[in-house]
Amino acid sequence: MRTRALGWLAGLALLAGLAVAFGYAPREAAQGNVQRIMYLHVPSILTAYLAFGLVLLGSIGYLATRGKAWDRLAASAAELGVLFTGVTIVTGSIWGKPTWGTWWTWDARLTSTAVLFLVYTGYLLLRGMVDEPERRGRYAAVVGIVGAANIPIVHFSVKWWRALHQPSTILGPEPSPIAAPIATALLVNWVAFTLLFVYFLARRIEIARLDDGAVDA
Amino acid sequence: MKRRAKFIVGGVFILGALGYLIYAGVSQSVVYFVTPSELMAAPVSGKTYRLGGMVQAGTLKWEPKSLDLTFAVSDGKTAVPVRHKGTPPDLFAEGRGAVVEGTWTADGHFKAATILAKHSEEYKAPDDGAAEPGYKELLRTLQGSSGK
Amino acid sequence: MPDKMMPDHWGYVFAAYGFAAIAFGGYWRHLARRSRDLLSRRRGKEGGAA
Repeated sequence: MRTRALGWLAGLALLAGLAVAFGYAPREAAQGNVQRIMYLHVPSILTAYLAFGLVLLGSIGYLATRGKAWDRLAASAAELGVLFTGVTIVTGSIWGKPTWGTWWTWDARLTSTAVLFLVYTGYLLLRGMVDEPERRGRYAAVVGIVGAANIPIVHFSVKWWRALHQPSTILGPEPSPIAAPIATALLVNWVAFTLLFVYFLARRIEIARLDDGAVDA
Repeated sequence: MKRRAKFIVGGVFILGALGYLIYAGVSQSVVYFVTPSELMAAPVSGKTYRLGGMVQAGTLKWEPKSLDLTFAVSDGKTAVPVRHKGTPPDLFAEGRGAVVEGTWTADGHFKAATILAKHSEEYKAPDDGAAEPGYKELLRTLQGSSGK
Repeated sequence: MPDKMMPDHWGYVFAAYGFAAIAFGGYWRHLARRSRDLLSRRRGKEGGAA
């Protein structure tokens, strides 16, 4: 079974990510060892961006074709996006306490990330409230498309507005001022998180198919 | 077809409204802090501010016994003297960014209730030759014999 | 000025990794349980129909 192989691959990649995060990457010059939380925090949000991008894709696809597979893609990706955004927020909070000196503050980055989390939690709640599949898919697709407007707001918030959060190192406009081994460790963990996401998505979509009673689709 | 057109118009409307709401919500936290120049342009004593800038080199004084901390926050043009009682975050240091929450006082200093350290987007390896691979550092620090 | 390095905060580091492990591990188990339930229900239905 291909999904199972993907699961093993993701597991191995995560182990490699751990090994690189703790065994290869050096301490960071200013933050010391606590900076290693970055190898969870940044891959998590990048994976969440990917997830919400797929929600957008699935939502557009569903409105255009009314194919149930699109709706299942959007619903599954949304659940995973909420999971990965949650991990981003919690690990970021744990990282913020020893470095910034606070678990949380209402700056533009943290606020917009909280909004992102709430919008897609709302998306999932909405799906739970509408029973009729056609209407559920249609309503959800609208939220899925509108919610995607949040992704650039979250990402560029640190560039557009003053914040406590530092500007983007990865996916930033300029070449990132980051030491090569730290960048390598980030990349390995990003790949690992992406594999984990694809594995989860495949299983979640399979569950949605069984739920829909779709033997053929 | 007509229903679909109505649906699209409605969708665009909702999209616009929600986008505006999100933007407005985030904009509330847009002026997350004022700069020293902005504060000094029109300081109001007793008013609560969030002040952000660099901890000016050579200004940081810290009394571990009384927990009295004084330093200046600068934006390169203006420096604001800050006083605080308490332990700052570990990352807090001269030449790094900081955001302080507190009030401007009538006698001409900023009384900080909270100090937050800001870090840059730079991630460097220690440049003093201590940039050994992580596992060696890990073993050493876990053994408690943190060298140097 | 030379960079002053923060002291270690292994408690925070392990808390973050521990949380991520619990979140992802928990979700993984949740998926496994749901698909097992759905598959056995379907098998039961098919068995009943046959």
